[in-house]
Amino acid sequence: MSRKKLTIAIISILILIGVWYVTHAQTSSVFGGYITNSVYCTCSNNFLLTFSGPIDGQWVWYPGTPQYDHQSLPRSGVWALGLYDAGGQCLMTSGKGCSPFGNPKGTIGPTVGTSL
Amino acid sequence: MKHFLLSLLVVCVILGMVHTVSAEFVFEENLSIGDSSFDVYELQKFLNTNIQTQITQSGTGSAGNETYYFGNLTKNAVIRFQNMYKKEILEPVGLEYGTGYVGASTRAKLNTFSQSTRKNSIESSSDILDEIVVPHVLHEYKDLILANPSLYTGTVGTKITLHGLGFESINTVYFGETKIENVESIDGETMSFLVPDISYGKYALEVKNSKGKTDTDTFFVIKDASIISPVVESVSPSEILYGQKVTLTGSGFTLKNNEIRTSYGVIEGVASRDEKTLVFEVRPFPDTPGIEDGVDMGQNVTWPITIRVINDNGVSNTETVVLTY
Repeated sequence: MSRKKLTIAIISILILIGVWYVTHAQTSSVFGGYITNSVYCTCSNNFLLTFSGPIDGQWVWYPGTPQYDHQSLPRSGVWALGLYDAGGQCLMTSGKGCSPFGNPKGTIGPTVGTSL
Repeated sequence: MKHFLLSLLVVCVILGMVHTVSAEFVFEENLSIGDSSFDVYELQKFLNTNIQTQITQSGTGSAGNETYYFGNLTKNAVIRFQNMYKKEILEPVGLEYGTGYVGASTRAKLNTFSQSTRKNSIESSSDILDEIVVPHVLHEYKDLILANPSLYTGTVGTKITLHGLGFESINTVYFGETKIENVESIDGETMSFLVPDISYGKYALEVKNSKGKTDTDTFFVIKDASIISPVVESVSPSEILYGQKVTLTGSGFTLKNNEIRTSYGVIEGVASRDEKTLVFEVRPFPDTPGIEDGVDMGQNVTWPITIRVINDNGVSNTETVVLTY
């Protein structure tokens, strides 16, 4: 491979990494507050967590998602702060099917810390 | 762009590009293989803040799973730390390679991290997130919130910092019924004070000012310096189905009133007949319809549940049991 082609290839890879990183980062937003309610979603096998202040709302969290100290999700009563990605549903068993429950703003990712 | 920069900051810090030490912890004792103490726990926490000196990537001793025991993994991590700072630690005492013994020169270097960078240091993931979120989301929040203390256990006189929002210039901090008055906060989001000289044990920790009084599950265990905190050495079985019993084996458990704090709930008042074992059943969200004890419900869910023991002796290390359903 010529030096010119190698340079172009390296620059292209760097640009692709940069584009992926920026687009990936842009999907993450901040959430934070005290978990006031934690409900297991029987169809989607995740949890619907309700937070109160400073950022009110509901988010879903999947068991097994890594978390940092003190790894207290999804326990009710803990303080949590982190990043979430848009999208995500809590589905509950309803008759023979499943139906959405709650109104989650997104799905909590692995960048989250909690109180003990 | 803002989110990009914030995410980059998180990644940089989480990848261990900086060494950080818990709030003003000072290493005053020499440490070596075979030792068991709170200092070892703090040493492991510190070493785990840098990927080059972490005790281990996973399991006992890894970040979040630090123990009070100085074993071979800790020794090897200390050697890596000593080799990293060879000029300051080893050369002054005529050594070329790290030994794994935490003596005066190693402690001196460790303590520079706790003292020189404290003001802006980030001591846990919660604080990493505090650093990111506070500037653009929470600053304008006016209500009183107690988020988390910098430490959950310590001796009388230990300096701790409370993180939260809505702190006023003068606040009252409650250790149970004991009041510490006139606690100052400069930034409205942190305040530091010394643990009061009251009886050993676990206390609810709350804050009061003109905005009201917090009502949280925050706590602090005042411990006797001569007593080793509880240590969970093993969890058996390590993988379970719903409703199964788990036995924690370790040391420092009390005959009664052990609290098992898991990632799904808090189990209070657990007794230990021999002060070496604790038994409890794993039953998260028991009101969930269709849930059955001892049955793999075929949902293909594998959930690592964290476990800590809290009692009058302090707060244990973190262990994990994996629930499958």
